[in-house]
Amino acid sequence: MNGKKILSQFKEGLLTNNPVFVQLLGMCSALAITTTVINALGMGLSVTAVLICSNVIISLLRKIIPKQIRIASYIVIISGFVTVVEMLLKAFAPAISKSLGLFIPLIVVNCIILARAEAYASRHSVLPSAIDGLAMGVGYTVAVVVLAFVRELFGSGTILGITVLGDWYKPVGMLINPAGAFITLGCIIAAVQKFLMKKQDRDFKKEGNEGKVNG
Amino acid sequence: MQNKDNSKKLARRAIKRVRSDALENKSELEKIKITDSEPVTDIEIDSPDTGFKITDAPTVKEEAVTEVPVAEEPAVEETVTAVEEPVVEVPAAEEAPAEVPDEKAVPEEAPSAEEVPAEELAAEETPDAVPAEEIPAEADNAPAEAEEVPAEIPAPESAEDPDELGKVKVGPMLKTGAMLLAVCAIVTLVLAMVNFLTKDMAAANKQKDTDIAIKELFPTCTASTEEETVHGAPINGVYKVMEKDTHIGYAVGVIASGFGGDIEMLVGIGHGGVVNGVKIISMSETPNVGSRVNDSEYLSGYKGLSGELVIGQDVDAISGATVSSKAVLAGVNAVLALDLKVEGVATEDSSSEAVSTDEVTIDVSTPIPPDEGLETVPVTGETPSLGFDTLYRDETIPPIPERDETSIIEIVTQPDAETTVPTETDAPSGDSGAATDEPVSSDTAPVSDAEAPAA
Repeated sequence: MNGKKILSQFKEGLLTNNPVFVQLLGMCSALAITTTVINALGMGLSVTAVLICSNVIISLLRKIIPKQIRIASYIVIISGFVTVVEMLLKAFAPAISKSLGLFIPLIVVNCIILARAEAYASRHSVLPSAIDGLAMGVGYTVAVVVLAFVRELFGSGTILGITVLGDWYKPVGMLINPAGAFITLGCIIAAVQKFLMKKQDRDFKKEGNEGKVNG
Repeated sequence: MQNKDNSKKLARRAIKRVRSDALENKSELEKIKITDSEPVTDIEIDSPDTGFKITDAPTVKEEAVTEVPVAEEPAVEETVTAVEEPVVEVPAAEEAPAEVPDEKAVPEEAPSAEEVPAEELAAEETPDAVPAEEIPAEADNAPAEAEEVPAEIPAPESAEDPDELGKVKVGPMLKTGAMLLAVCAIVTLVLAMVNFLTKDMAAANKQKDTDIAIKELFPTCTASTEEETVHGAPINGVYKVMEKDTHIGYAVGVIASGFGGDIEMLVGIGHGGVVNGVKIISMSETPNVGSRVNDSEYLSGYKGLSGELVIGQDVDAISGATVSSKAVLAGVNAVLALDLKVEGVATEDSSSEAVSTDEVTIDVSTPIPPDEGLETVPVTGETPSLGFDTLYRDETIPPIPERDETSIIEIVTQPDAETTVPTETDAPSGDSGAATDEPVSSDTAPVSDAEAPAA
């Protein structure tokens, strides 16, 4: 576990294997809650917290849990953490809890978390798993915040609720709608892919595309 | 050549499997050795024993037949391994699926469970079985012995299968079940703890939200208490709003189903059962479309309405947000249908306050709306000039400009309670109403009793 490896894990989570832009995981929440930056931030941090905790616990239990019931156990552990996060949000950040609404409980079925549990945490020791959770969580957070930034800026003319585009700007209502989310996401994915193609060699490209099927 | 390489690989893999199986599983070794005494080289050999066995497991035979030719190719080139390979293939194919999964699940229990039937069956059915039992310890992982397995193996194994299924599977199932139970129990425990720690705060937050919303509906509100009365959906809590000791209205939480989910709102009911205001607490309507029902301008259109509201007449629907508008309307209608009576009604004048109902007389500090049907009103409070005349509540009665704070009889009414609670009573001059059976207070009681007949 050296610095270089940590760096590469973060690079993977943020860019080359970004859960939203490259792996296309967790689309449901990514599309639904990105109407405002603050929502996206709240959701991203919640997912990150759940991801780190579940990765650590699953990594600790990876040798204890029998193979046949591992998925069931993962789901129970993940939903436990999600419920804890939900309770904490209700207690300490009621505003965010209210605006995220149903999407907090739905973190349970966010495929990013189960995918990381199955693909990484169940095969690696605790520290790398925790770092993987952090890296993937940050990758998700950055992705949804970027998406929300574009949608909120052009869809409502505000950022974090503060009007930045003046009265002269007529908000594009469609961007706030689900259709706008898809279009924005498509454009961003195209840009990210273009960037990756330019920067990386062929092998890297291949690696990036592999994850796409997992949806 | 490639084909040969492949088959070599296959053969080697098969050998590995057999070896590991043999190491893991003693009983398999036994089986292997059972056949040791019989020099069987060809799989298709029909020994007298195999006749009934093959019928037991016909698929096994097919596998054996199909796999052998593949494995035989390398036999030509590599003499040593080649001899082993064709034969080895068979037990691997036969035994691996049937036994290995069970074995892995419960390594400790499996051997004991399997050994017994293996011995019994062997003793009963095959004469060769006796030597078979003696041999096992000798050779642990001798692939050479695996050569002879084919014809014989199907028999004991297919006979064993039912027993194995019955005996081996219960153990691992219980174990995995217990494991799952443990995981669930621990998670539940953690959740219970977190819930215990946060529930007060969460409830306080919710209460604060409601309080803020009530405050916006009734700016003069000083206190609100949730009524115990249980109302079914969509009503979500009825709050009695007080200004100091005066009942000024109800705030009713209601959940209406809008276009994008539930719309949680709070409807204020003021005097006379009219809508005092509507406040949307949470909703998930389409932003910039359905969410426009939350415009304060639009919601203020509900102010002062009562009765069953109809969209298009009493209130307009927002174009493009008809569903959301109708949801808000439905919510308000549900609240109005409760027919909440805000009994606490007051006039600014200290003389002519009071409402006559069967039970109680009240006065509060706000004027009665004109449509509040008030007929004969027994005089309460202190109105010396009027004596015990029955007052007709009327706009024509001139209000007395000065408000005498001490003279107002404060009566809080519960919907079905018959209690009258005076708060500020001017004892000598205060008269309770004729309609009121109960004494207003101990001070005024004699007065009212004595004078009621006179009225």
